[in-house]
Amino acid sequence: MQFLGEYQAEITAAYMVAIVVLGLAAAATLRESRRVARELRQLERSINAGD
Amino acid sequence: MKPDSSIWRFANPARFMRATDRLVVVLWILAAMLVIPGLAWGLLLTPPDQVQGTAVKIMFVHVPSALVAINAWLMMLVASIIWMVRRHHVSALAARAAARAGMAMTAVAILTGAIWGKPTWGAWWVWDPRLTSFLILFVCYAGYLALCHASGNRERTADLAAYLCVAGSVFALLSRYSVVFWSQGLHQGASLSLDRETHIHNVYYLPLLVCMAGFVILFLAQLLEGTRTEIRKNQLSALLARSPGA
Repeated sequence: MQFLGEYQAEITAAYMVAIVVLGLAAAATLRESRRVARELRQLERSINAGD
Repeated sequence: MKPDSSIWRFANPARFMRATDRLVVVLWILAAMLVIPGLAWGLLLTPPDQVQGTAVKIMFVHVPSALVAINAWLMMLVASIIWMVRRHHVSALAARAAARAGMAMTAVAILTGAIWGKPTWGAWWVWDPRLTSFLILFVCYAGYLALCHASGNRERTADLAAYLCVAGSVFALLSRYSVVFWSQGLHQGASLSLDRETHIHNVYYLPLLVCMAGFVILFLAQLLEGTRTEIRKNQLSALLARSPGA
């Protein structure tokens, strides 16, 4: 980590913040998308089966 | 212009879902292909700056996130106006989907800015015009999301969210232009400008462009994915209303 010089802690913290916050936001978006898509498929199946 | 060749054809949710089915996957992959190498390039391969030393490497996360944070709100403004004027549900849902990604970008911009401010200004935070307007923008995002999740009539909620978006646009524009017309702040002027011939050295400029492209595409991927989810939620509600026993 010598290449980060005297600001090693600040640079590491900034990159960690960006990766964690953006990663969590992207993961939450994808997880919710899959959950809603699954619920919609199940509901459509149960309605079709009821017919 | 024929109706089918118009952009308004995407106001049809079914058509929007078909059109974005593969595009959203491509955008996620493209975002990963740009963000990861862009950040690695900025972090590992750029030399220390003459004035700021290695702290300049924080630019590669701060500038792209700030760019997207402001423009996400302006995109929400356009979508909200379309909702208010033409009542296209997809535009209201797109504004809602953009808010979560925009708020994450705003949080990153504020936090990385504070981390960058400590070594360069000697303070984590100052009540500089750009920083203050950015903080208010973050509060606007939080308020917008809280309003969107409020229960009640969906159309009424979308209307109120659109009004909030129009009002909050003042702070998005203030964040964008405060460094230009408000000279007493600590925050430096824009690093990049389309109407200026000189800009930062290519050794920083090129990785910054890659990071900016990556962050913009990451936002677009979240926007499309989120809009698709909101459309599906509407379909779920409609199906449940029609067949409550299911």
